[in-house]
Amino acid sequence: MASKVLVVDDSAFMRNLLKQLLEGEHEVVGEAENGVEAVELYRELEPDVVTMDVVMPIRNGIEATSEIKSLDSNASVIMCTSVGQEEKMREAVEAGADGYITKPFQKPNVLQAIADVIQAEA
Amino acid sequence: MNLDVRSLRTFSRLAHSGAEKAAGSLTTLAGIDTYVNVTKVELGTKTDVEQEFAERDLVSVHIGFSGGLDGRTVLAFSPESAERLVDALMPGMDGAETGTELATSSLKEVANIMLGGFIDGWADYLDTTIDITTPTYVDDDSDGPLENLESDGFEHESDNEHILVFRNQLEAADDAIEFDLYMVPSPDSIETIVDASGQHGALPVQSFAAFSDMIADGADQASADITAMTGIDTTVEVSRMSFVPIEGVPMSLTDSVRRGVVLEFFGTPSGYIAILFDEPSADNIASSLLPGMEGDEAMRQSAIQEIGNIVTSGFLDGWANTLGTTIDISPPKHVHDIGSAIVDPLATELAQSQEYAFLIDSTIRTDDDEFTCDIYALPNEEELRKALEQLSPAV
Amino acid sequence: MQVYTTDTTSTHSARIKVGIADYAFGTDGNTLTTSGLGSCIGVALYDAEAGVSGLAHAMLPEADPDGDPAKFADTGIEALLAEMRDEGADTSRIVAKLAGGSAMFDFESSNGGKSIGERNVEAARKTLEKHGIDIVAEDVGGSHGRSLELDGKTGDLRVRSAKTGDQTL
Repeated sequence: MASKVLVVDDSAFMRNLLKQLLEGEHEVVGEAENGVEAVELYRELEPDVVTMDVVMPIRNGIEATSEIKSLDSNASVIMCTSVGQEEKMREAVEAGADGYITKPFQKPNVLQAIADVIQAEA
Repeated sequence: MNLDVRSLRTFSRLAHSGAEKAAGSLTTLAGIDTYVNVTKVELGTKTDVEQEFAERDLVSVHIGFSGGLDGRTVLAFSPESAERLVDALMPGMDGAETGTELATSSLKEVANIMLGGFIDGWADYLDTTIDITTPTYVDDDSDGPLENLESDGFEHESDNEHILVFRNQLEAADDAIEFDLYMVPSPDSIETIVDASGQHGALPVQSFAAFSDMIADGADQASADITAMTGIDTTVEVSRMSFVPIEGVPMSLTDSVRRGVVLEFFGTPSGYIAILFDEPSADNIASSLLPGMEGDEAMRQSAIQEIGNIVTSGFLDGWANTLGTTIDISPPKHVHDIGSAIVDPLATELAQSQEYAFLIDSTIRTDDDEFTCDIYALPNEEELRKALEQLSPAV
Repeated sequence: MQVYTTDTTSTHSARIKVGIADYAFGTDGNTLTTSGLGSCIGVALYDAEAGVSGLAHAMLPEADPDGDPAKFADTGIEALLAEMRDEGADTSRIVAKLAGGSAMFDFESSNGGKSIGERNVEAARKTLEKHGIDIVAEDVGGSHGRSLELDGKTGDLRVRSAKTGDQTL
């Protein structure tokens, strides 16, 4: 079942990669480059799922996730980051993240993460 | 700051496993097999590091880290390797040519992923959290690559202060893509790592620094000697000491054919030294010494042996003087073979009694690239340590 | 919060590089390569029926108990054999080819005993014999360096030398 996805990452390459990966499976409705844009676009587009990079300029993904979750407790946010330290995962949990994908990822991981999060929502 | 061989070994292992993880990440990301060739723990000055970047015309991505450790990591490529990597990441894609935002962005993301994984390993080892910054892309159009190194905890370090640099040499796609992954922890962070690995008979870093200076002096002397012999101006391009797993020593050289000499040296310390030229350089330097006699192979060999002899003396005499010891050298043995295979037996002899090696390498070059001379010195680890202990009281 | 990680250990591709004090195997007709063989010994193993090939590059003859197994001819060969067996290779079918073990320099410190190169060759022979593996070809000794390429499809071992030219074993 196709979901509306908001892709958040400061890397144009990574946003592009995710778009390619999700093509045919889900609809990427928007892209944000930092935490501030992420929250703005969330409000505007009301996506089903957000993939959220952590390390970004202006506002990081952990903070953006907290804010989105406080806006909408039903929001589904999946962290997508190169950092795999336990403490960082703990921070993500505290911020309300529903999933955590480490980079580099393979297509099945991303699709599975989205599927799991949608199902949990349902 | 005190350093000892045991902590150097720990650093080396940790850096190596981090680099392997980074290599695995790139393999997954770009679908091209990536290997770690060698991991080195280098001791040099800030100036040395900056100079190397400047000389080699590199494209690099920098990511700072802070928290349990502070410092900077850098992924550095030649422009050619960078282009090939971008191509592997986005094959035939429009709008991804060199210099475009997408191309730059892909390199930044590669760095983010590789270096993120690398740092995770250190955080894990120290049982702490380390944050990373967003990546900064630097090419030769931008300001000096190590500008603002101060902001990573290096505020108090002058340009001549010695720093430890972890340098991993990686390659991908059958040598078509080569790059280095550097980690430069702040001096305080080095202390943190040393403490975590347990100090044991540590030497003050000043001893290593004094030795490092001695090496630089030796290289300068060797350069002056070559200039005197050939009449061609030469300069020392780089001169550094690194701590490397013994099997990493031959892996620091490629498969290309080299010509030169190998010598054994005896005293405190004892060890082996290889003075190597690529083939065009060997021809050029022999020609400069034997104008009109280029055709005579036996004479060329003899000339190269003599250069080797003089360069070795220039290089090692300073060591003996500073350490107050005697170092004798064996007659030079002419070599002409695959570079890594030449150094392999030297490392293997030492491998019988040591797992790691102090590798001193120096490159002497003429201004117009007429020839390049690489010097690889491998002192016996135990004896070098004793020699460094002798240097300590003087500091 | 569910965590999704990818196992990033290298998958085998067409060409697999074996470093120094290292070994690797291939099961897809991969080409295994190694270089910088001076006094080091290169041991190529091939089970044609199972389609499993392996290449080891060892520095020293006999293992140190605390050392890395891959660094020594005896433990390196045994470790490689174990991995190849896991992939379906059988020692009764495996054939071996040796290359390397040169004595490039006559070091004063070796006191006229056997060179490390020679000792590496001996240790490799001894270990292979212990496992009942025949050495069907070799290019060992001499005083020159070598680079190797083992073709996993045919079992051919290409030996490159700057001094004596290339040959296929």
